[in-house]
Amino acid sequence: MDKHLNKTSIAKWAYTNLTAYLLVSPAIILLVVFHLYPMGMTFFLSLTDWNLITPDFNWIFAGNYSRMFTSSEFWSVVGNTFIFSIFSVGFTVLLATVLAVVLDEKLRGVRLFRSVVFLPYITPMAAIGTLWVWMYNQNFGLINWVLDFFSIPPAPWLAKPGWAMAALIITKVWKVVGYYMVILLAGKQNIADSLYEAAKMDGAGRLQLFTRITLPLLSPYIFFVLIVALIGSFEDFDLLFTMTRGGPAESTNMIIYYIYQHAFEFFDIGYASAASSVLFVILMLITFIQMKVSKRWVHYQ
Amino acid sequence: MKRTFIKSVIMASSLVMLLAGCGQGASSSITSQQSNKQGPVQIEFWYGNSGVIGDTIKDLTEQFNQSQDEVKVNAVFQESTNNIGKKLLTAIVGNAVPDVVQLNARFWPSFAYNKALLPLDPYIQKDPEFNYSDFVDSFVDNTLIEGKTYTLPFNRSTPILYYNKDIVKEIGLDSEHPVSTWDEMMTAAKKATVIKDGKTERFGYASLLPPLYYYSLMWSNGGDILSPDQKDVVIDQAPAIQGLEMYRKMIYDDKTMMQPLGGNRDGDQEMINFQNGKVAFLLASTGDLNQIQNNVKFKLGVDFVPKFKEYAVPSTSGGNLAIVAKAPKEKQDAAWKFIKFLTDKQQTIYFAQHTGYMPIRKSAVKAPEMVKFYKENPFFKITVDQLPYGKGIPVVPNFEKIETEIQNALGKTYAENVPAQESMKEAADKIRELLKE
Repeated sequence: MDKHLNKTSIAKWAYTNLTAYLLVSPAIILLVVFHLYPMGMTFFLSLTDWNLITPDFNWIFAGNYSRMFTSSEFWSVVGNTFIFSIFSVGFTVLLATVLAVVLDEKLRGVRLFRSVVFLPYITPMAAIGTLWVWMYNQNFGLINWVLDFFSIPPAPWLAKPGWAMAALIITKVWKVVGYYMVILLAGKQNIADSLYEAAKMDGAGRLQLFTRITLPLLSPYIFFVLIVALIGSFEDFDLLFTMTRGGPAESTNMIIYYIYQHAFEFFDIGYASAASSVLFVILMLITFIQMKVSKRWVHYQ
Repeated sequence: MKRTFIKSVIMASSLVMLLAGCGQGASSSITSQQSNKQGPVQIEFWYGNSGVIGDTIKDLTEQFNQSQDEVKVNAVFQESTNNIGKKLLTAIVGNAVPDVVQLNARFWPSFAYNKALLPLDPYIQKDPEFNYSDFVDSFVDNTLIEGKTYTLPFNRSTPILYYNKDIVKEIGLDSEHPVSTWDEMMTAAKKATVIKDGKTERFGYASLLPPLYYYSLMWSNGGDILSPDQKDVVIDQAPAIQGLEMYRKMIYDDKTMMQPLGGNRDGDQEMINFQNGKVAFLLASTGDLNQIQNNVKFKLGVDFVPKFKEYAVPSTSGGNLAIVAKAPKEKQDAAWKFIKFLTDKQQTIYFAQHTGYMPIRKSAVKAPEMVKFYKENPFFKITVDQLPYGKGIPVVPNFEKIETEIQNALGKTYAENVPAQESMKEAADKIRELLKE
């Protein structure tokens, strides 16, 4: 082919390619300016002790990292982040799957239920946080009042370390479950009815239908939901900011809030950048592992 | 294929640089045009209060603009006083600074230590009209670093004790002056608490979480945060922890104090429960006076913060005014005229009467208008009477981190019933490390 190239075809080739690059250039520029450049800068800053205000800075290379890895606080923050992520994502995926299957049935008022479950997702986190802080109030809150109605002793929501974490997880699941339910519902509706009919003819029960047909065919969707929810749970700032500010006694402090504290309250930009870089690596690793592991259980049709 | 790709990357990047360059060029040409122009010097002023306080600040700015024609101030609202610090940081990095800012005690020292604020001493010394010694002493403490003035006090407040007069009468105390010591408060809180079937229906006492509200207890007992030379921590010594130990007993043994919580807006829960009659005594800021007064349905009382040995209250909450070091000289001079106006006697009186913040000048406190105002609004007077007992928090680099450690220690005792000695010891050790940095 190459031998037959002449001037006009080169011009044509250049024309189409350049046009293509020109067309994607807005996206590339945005990507460079708002993603790649800040990412590079963050890593660069993580090697310095700069606080952004002073005109000069020192290279301290791994200094921020070694300070971070030897700080017990950092590790407890990482631990909190993982506890929050695992439980909130676990319950979200579980509940979203159940809801998707149930709300796919032809029930009366099913549309209304779908909207109700979805509603919290479109409400701003700050509003939800404010609201739930009041519902969780240990002495005068709605939740303990309801518990009391069923003769369950009141719980110190938000006031005691373990309980505060549970309270955050519950609120988070309540907020996002509707969104993931919609994705899984779409997945469920993509499964051909003929499969179920065939299985029923062979005498499969409800449970078998669910474990043998619904779950495997829903697995790509569940996989997508897992990754997105996990990354989302690591970056949950507004929930913490409005509900606990990392308290009580630092028991709900997580990486993203820790970064904020160091950057914008202590002006310790270098250290905060180092923590951001670590968060980035953690998220990369999680996604990578999920991709690898997923091959074993995700079935594409 | 590859080559065109590289080419387009270069093209794209040069385009980015071009755009960035354009932006810079444009902005600098605008500023130079502005300074060459005849007419008033335009300066930008950042403030962070909303509501009545914000309106009063805008009002005063307008009064300044109309009082002369050399300087024109643009007052820009920045969402909250805590946000201004963050925004100023980005503004300094981006080289687009305001000229005057209102900064609170959490932030101004960090900026001053990093030379981002202009020292005001040359102006103070050269300006004969500016009577520096007229400022209330306890407010001046929190404007200095190593003897240099970086800020002027502006809107300042202290904690005060709010109480529900109906409940106080019910438990048989003097409704004008129910308690003056913490011991009396503990007893009063016991009487005021209502527990039914093991459930607390009314708390005797509540305080806000931020350490600011705790310092008063520390100081009034002879304790402190740092040693006088600011080289060591003393928050874990006996006088400093007695108050926290008392709080722990009130929360866990007597069950008379509501556990202070952080989150959304520090103090919302405590404040609203007080307004609903579910708390008898509340330690909160004078800055909340307007809100609380407007929302209670019972007879409100206000008094000094109780004492152990001697009254003591922090005088550092609220904000100061600062001039940004990166602003051009001409604008800094204009900014000085503006902050001189804002902190002058007449404006101080106006501001105090409209907001509930304290007058920052001695002459304003004594002025007949103010005396008359206090007669009509006795609650506002409590704050001023408390002034002689005002004390500033230490001005050291890293104070924000130090305060976070103190807050964690308080939180630990409040949330987990950890003895005050233990939680404060842990915080003191961490702070000792910070002081070494």
